[in-house]
Amino acid sequence: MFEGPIKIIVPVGSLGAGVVEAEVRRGVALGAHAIATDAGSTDSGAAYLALGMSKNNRGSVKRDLTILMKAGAEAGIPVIVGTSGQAGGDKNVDWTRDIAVEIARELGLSPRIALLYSEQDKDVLKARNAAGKITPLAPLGPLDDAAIDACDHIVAAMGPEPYMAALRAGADLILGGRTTDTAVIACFALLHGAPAGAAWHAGKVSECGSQCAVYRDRGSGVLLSIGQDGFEVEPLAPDNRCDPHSVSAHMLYENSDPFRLTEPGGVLDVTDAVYAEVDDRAVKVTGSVWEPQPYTMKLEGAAGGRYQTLMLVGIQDPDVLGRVDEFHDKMLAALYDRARKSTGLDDAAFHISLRMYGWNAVSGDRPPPGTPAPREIGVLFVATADTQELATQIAKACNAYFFHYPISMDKELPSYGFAFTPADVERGQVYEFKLNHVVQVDDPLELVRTAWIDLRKEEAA
Amino acid sequence: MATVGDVCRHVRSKNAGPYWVTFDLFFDGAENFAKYSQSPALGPDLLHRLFGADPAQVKRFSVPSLNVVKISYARTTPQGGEVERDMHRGQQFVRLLDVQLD
Repeated sequence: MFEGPIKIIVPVGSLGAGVVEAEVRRGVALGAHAIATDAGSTDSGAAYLALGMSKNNRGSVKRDLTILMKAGAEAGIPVIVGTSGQAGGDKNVDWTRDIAVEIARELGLSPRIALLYSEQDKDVLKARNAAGKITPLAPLGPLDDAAIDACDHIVAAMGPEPYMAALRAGADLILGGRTTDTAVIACFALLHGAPAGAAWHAGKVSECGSQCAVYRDRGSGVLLSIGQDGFEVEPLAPDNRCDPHSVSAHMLYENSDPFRLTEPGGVLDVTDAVYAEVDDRAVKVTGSVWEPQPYTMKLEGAAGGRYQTLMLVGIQDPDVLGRVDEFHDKMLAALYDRARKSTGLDDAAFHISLRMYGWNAVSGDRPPPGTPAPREIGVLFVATADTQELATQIAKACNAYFFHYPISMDKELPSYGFAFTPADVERGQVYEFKLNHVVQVDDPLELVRTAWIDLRKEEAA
Repeated sequence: MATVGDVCRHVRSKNAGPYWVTFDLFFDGAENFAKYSQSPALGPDLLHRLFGADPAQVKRFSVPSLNVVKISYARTTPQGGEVERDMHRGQQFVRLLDVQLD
């Protein structure tokens, strides 16, 4: 029997982005039952999964988590974190775990911490694939073993069930691996019997914290109140507000479909959702529908590719700026020629690109004839090769050409504005996602491992 | 003759996961939304022409309550790949602004 409403603080869009302590206090005072946030996303690229590295720095994550753990302990409510350490791989979770344990010791807290791991073993996935349990999502095709082997790390995005199990077992703090943003926020309400449509939709609306409010620059978090007939959302900053437009528009954000969101075990359908003003700060949403489906978990795999070395010059020479495209083409040809001769490599073994910032670096498109000359441009040189050493060799071989390449051969050699010495910057590997597939499971926990750190027991011992 | 930039108060682009890019066209009111949201100029061919998208992998939605048209397409180059120029695809909306709607 659902007694509701369930109140959840979503303090921030991503752990480490800047929790506001007064907002969390306000949410607790308003009767929050749990604090939930994600700590990552695929949005910033595959490097964070491939390297097991956080995007937010340690100090920022520790600061935010300190506020949440303290508030959770004082109020006696659980703190739930998903997609720990940006990518939610095992290394990302362990990095966050170490921070949490450090905070607990510093604050004299003794939480029971549940660690939910969803990184996947390659052989297990190959076996599941062979058994027909893995299917592609557009635009990728069927999965083959080579794609699995290419990945440095693979995670499966968890739904709410591992979190619900950890809450049932008495977790004060949950640090989850890769999880859908919505599931992290919906799990507590689902555990307590809230209607699934409302719980999931509340999770989607609040997954970026106060981004669903009217003012993007006021405050960080929101309070959800999930009841029998829908949910309400309001910002935790007193000078911000939600309105039906700000809340409904968030369904558009980073979704390819504004009405239907596929999640583990079902689809959230908001086609018939109604957004109504409750007062001058809060919005009530009704009519969200959850359609149960066979349970699937989305796989994300990150792989390191070739290596890159960079150089950057600034150019204000008006002779160049009047003929940027011609300059680009001639210089690129000269750099390729120089790199070929210097390294003995053929063209397939390396790649050079020049990005003309201030002209067309973002699109790569040729501006139409008659486009006025820019005041200055930055030219980014990117050499790509099989090893870092080789990429740097290419950059070094090209250095003098990149520095002095003239637009007119009948004048003295120009010197462009290098920003750094040494001029070349080793950038490391190129990282890409390799998977866009789902794995079918019979039990939402079968690909998830839960570990516990019980600081109460450690203290007692 | 109206362009997307003329009749929208805001146009944005962003990744929708590593393999999809999504555009939100916020029309400046119900009138222009009604007039242009179904425009054939915003069809799959446009995404093919501007971004090399596979027309079969283009999705388009009208959201009348927000006067929004959402268009999504499958990325043609991997996010963060060797020739990445816009990791989050946040600048891709600019190419839509000059599209003629009638």
